[in-house]
Amino acid sequence: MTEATGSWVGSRALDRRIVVVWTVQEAVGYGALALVVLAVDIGARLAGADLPGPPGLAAGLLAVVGGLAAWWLPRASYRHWRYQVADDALEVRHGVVRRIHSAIPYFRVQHIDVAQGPVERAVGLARLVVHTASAGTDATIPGIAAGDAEGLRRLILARTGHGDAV
Amino acid sequence: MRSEDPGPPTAPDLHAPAGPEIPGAPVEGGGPKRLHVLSPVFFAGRHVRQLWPLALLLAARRQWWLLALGALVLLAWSTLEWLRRTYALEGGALRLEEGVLARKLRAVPFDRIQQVDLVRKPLHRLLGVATLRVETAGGGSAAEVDLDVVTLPEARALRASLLRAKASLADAPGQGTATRPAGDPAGVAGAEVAAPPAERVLVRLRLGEVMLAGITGSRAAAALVVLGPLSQASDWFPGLSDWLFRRFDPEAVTPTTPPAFLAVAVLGVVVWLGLAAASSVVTDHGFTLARVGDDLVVRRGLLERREAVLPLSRLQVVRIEESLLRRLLGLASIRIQSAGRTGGHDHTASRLAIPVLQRTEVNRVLGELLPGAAPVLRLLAPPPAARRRAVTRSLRRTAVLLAVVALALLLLTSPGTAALSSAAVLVAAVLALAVAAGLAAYRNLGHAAGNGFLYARVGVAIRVTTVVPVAKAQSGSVRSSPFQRRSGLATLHVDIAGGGPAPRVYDEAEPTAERLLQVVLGRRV
Repeated sequence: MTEATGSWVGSRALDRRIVVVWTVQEAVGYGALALVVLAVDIGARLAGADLPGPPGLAAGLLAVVGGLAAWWLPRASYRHWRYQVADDALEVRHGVVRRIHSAIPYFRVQHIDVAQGPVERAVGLARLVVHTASAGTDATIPGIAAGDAEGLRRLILARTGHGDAV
Repeated sequence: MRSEDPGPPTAPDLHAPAGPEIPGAPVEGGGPKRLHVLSPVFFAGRHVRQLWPLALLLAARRQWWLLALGALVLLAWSTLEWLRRTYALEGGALRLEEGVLARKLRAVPFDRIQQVDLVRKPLHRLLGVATLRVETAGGGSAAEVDLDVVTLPEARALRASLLRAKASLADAPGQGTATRPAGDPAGVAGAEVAAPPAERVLVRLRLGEVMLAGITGSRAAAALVVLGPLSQASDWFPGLSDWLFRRFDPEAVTPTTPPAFLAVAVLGVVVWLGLAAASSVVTDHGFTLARVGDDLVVRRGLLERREAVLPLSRLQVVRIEESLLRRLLGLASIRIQSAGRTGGHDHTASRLAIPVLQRTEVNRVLGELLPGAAPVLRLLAPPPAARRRAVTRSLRRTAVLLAVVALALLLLTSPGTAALSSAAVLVAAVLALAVAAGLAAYRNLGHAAGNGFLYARVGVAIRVTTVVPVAKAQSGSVRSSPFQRRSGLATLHVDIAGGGPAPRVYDEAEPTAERLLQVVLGRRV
């Protein structure tokens, strides 16, 4: 798998395997939607509704669009994703359409979750969710090698210091 | 300590009805206490509020004996609840033990307490008691502990003790352990000695000002918005007006001449503004904002007196709001946002607000709330590209709305050419208004940073100036949509603890927004 990274200095990209995770997630989402549309389409036709076009046209179009999106979006998103474990704050840059640069000072961090979905587990990735006292804080780092996530969490927590942080 | 033993609390005989206590007297220790003897009445009242459909059903069937039996059972149950409900200030926490069948223990550590309120409804005031409401961080009902009811002096003494215990805990890390023996769980022993600090009134509103707040506030505006469409209701339901006319003599009720119409309209407006003023008086009568030690205290209300206490250290953001009408009258209002209020289930938004204020007073009050923040710095306007964007955005929004309305009208009616040409004039007028609104939105945009504060202003009809102490920012971000990037603009978001809208600096030049993010991070001030 991945070698345990010694240093977190500098701006870093995500683990490349996150593209696989996102692609699967997008594909599953669009696939499920296409199936629902197909079921409604066929059901309506069986019930005697007079719909334009051959059966399955809408579902097919949706599948094509979904396929393109599932291919392109994860790759574009991966290209724009950068995070940096700076001296005093965690800095995250991401977003394809809407660009976001957010920064969370370490001493504001309340707690950090390491989470893993089924697809992430399959490819050996984890995501780090950083919580502050504000619900608005945007700080999820997806695509960290599962072996590294715990280390990064400890690194950030070691820098949080003590106090109420409110 | 949680006990599975369902027996009575250790020394029930000691818990005689709470007599008048000297305010400021020690309330800690002394074991668990019961609430006031009248509490069962309030418990029963709460149950009745849940069971009223059943009661109504029984009353409708005239089963009075069943109703009486139910009332008796309810009172007996409430008395049991009262017997089994105790509170204590022990081990650095407010501990509430309750439950007749299943025992439940809630412990609120002093340092988790965000706010302690005293609520007095008319019945409370009649009986000389109060509900003490203790709020902790987080939203929902789990974030609250209600002691209903205790005597007023007891409630005041409890509140003072809780807040002082909390304050001395909060000071502890900074002062080190030398000032206090290490074993003292909450520092309450030392805190009790200190005399209650003096109260200094910051804002007190007279009756006329409270009424003015209602007339010029959102209450009046919201009502007018509702009234407008209602007057059209008779068009949508032709049967309705017929029915109404049959009920009330049409000749006497409907105004037929223009002067009569005018009289009715004026009367309607007067009644409406009167209602807005009255509702404002009910909630905000005798509004007083005072500083007691390191706390802000707000008292208000005509029938239900409310007394809210907010430790100044919990204050996160101050918002100065000026609607168009209030700007013309030289007025403003101030909203205070504090930590630990994510729910907003109560009247939280308005509870810590100053409903109306002379604009000349704003800087004085701001300086009291956030020392060093006043006067508001001169705000810098965003770059000219932001003006184009504001106008475009306003036009786009209006155009979408117009298109929807036009489509609906075209589908529902078949207009003639005369109607179409007058509609074109109307559309032109609306679009001109949209441009004016966009320009106003740009004029109101502005920001400033300095003295450890970030100021941001936004709004079209209601201009809102947000003042954020940089030290309170949890995190921040710079965001840009594709449209903004085309003009080299970005928006700064500041994340703040607690609920309420996040402060934002809209449509600044991207490098400026990035520089402000550095300010928020405390890297540059």
